[in-house]
Amino acid sequence: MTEWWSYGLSDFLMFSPQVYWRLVARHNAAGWPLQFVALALAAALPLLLVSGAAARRRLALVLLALAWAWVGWAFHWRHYAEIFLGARWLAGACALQALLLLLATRCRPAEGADAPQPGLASRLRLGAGVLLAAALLYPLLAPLTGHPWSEAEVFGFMPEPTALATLGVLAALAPWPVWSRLLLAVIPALSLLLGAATRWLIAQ
Amino acid sequence: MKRRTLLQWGALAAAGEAAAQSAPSTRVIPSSGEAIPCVGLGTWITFNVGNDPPARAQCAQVLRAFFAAGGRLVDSSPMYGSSQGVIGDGLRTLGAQQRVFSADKVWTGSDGAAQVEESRGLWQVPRFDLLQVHNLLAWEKQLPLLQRMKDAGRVRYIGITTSEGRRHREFEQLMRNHRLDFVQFTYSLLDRQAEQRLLPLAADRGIAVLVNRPFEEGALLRRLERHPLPPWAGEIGCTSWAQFALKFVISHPAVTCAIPATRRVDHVRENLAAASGILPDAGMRERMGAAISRL
Repeated sequence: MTEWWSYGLSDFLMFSPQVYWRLVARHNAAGWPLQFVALALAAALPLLLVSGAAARRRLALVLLALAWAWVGWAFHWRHYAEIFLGARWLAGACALQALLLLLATRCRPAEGADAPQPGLASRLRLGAGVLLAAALLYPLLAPLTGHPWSEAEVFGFMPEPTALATLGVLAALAPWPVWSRLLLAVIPALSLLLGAATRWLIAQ
Repeated sequence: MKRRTLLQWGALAAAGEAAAQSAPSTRVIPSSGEAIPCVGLGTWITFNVGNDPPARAQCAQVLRAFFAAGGRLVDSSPMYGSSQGVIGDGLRTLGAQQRVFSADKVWTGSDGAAQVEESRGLWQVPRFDLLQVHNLLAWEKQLPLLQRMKDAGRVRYIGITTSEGRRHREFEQLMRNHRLDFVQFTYSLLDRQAEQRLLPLAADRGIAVLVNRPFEEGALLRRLERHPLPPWAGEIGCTSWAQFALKFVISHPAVTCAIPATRRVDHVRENLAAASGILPDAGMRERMGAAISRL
């Protein structure tokens, strides 16, 4: 990958917007109708988070890990790699995120974290709100920006809504140690930055 | 005879017929005396369409129109995503492996020979006509490799590339100190930096010049389309800003071939049409440059 070091940001956009959106449509078509399963899982996540049981929160992390693994394999590895040379590395990052999420299920919640804390309810609301926005509102960007539904970006299928949903879960995951949540937020944050950069370059 | 072979022969016969009607101007490669059409086909972004069957078929149509209009040189790189494989499928479909002047690049800091072989497999050609060190990447290692390949008859021409004004000083040194058949760099109505040193040096050293980004990846044409084409553009046979921009580039005496990229059949025909008919002389080139700087 040292070949990329001498290039500017615009050089990374090695495909046209039409080709990118066609690829998203083909990715969605290949997985259809699993998008509904992904959305159902996303809808289940807030319920698991608001529950006081640590086991349910761990299940939320496992579901997120599955979503990241699927995004890495189905989108980055199988489809995006057709047109973007760095996609296999992105698939690796998704696999790493899935692994980190699974490891986080082994994390012991902070001492006394399950006790009522000031601001916990608002943090839960914030996390659940971000999560639902990622799951339900993000796919609406397609029709709102003039794209057909076949090009909608769905949680568990595309990186950005999955990353956003993950940040929502992490915000609501109060009992987990701060360092573990920060660690789990790195790849989603970078993924969102990359997605924003790609959209910006495509719009140029 | 197989139906497929008949179709391929038919496609090439049609290509030859069309080429005979309005053949593009040619330029001579100084190191060999071989003539090639002065407009080629770049594939950066435009041919990177992945495994999308309709898009790949569209690229094959672009190649078909390109050859039918008399074009020969197609340029690509391992850096261009799926472009090499898309070209290869198109060439096989058209049966044009012998017709194409295949220009590719080596773009790696590691095993250049392995990369070239992989690229050749994707292009589905027996050997490349031209191999270039892409953006001077690891040229200390790859240029000697390409020279050995040329000595062994595994490639006909070798060269180096850069784009968007990168590393011109080092590029110039390589042009002075190495036996190169081709150089490739950016030159356009908006970016005339190459006129200062690289183009005169290429003429002086007898090196063929491929020009990339003659339309600045479309930015030049998007800027120009807001304005009407000057009436005097008709004096040099221009019917569009694209032809205006392309005729300016290929009329420089040191330029061998410009390689605009496109994924549209009408654009590839328009580009090849710019290579036939009248080309601007020095006075007209000045007029063209001045007109653009006023816009």
